[in-house]
Amino acid sequence: MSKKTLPYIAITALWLGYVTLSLLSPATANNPYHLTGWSMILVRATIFIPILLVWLIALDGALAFKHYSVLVQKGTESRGISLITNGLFWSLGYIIFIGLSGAILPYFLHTNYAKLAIILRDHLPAALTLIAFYLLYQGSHQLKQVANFTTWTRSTMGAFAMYLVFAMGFVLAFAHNMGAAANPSNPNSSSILHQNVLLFTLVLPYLAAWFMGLLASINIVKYSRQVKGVLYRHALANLVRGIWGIVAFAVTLQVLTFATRFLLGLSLASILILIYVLLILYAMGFVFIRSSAKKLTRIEAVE
Amino acid sequence: MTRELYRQVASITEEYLGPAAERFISRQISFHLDKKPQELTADDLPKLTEWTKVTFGLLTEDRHMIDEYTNRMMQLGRAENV
Repeated sequence: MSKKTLPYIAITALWLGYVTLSLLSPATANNPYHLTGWSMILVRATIFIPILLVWLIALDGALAFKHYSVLVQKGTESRGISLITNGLFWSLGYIIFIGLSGAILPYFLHTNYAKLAIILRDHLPAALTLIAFYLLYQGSHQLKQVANFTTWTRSTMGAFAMYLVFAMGFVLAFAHNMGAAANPSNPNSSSILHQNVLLFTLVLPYLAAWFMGLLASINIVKYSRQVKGVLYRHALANLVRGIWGIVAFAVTLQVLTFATRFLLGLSLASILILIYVLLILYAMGFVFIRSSAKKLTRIEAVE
Repeated sequence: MTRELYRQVASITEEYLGPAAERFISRQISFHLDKKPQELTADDLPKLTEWTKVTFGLLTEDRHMIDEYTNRMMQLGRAENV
């Protein structure tokens, strides 16, 4: 077994665990639409294969960028590239966690650890996203050492103003609708923790993470426009698309998950379609990052 | 003088390869000229230009860009020899 294939084997093993846990999941758990056993398995099976592909594509993109970051570790941009690489791996960790946690949770629902499992299921994705987007932002900020750009221009202020409106709307929706769509068959942290606690442990971390994701995306665009080197800028174009794709995917998925779990009660069909779209967005983000990493690596490796 | 010449070559290359330029030129010099980057002389420029032209061809299909880069390197060589 070569060192290069080890991460892919590890991801596939995690996926097999996820599939096994999902298929053997207790029948009473999380079946709000009263699907029969086989219907439930078929519905879940339509998600399994895309999820494996998304995990593998994301891993491939992150590893390609890691390979590039090693090549430039003595360069002025190395600190920024290294932090962005770490941010990509934490993003990969996030998408793996949300899959695994959904499969594991039903096994704990009727045990003494149910509350802890639900709290972890709801909070760890926020923590992982916060770490991932913080690293992406810090990495993009470090790139100012290579290209002289300013984050807070008029366009950033405009984006910030729009984000503020969104953030206030999100907090208001949380304040007014929290617990309104409580579903005993699909419990969440709102039935365990007080609303004020959740505001600080869940809502604000998400808002902070999304804000840093937005700033990271803006910084990467500015870097790709300001940095010297016409061929280098061409190679960076797909990195910009990739970072935007990952941030957009994560934010949309998290808003959707939050709204579904805590505020609303969307139909299974509409959730499935949206999950597919978001998974494709996410995978496309890493496809672009892989493409950019390959072009940048070629510049570093050519002799 | 040689250090200044290397800096000028790196500066031209930076307009095409950005932060990767110095690493690129250092590799070209050590791999094809078997020298340290600081030891680059004006006499080395024709050979270095030929190699970088070939290598640039692996990075882009834009012939205009390759010719432009090559011409700037050759102009630098001529200026150094005057």
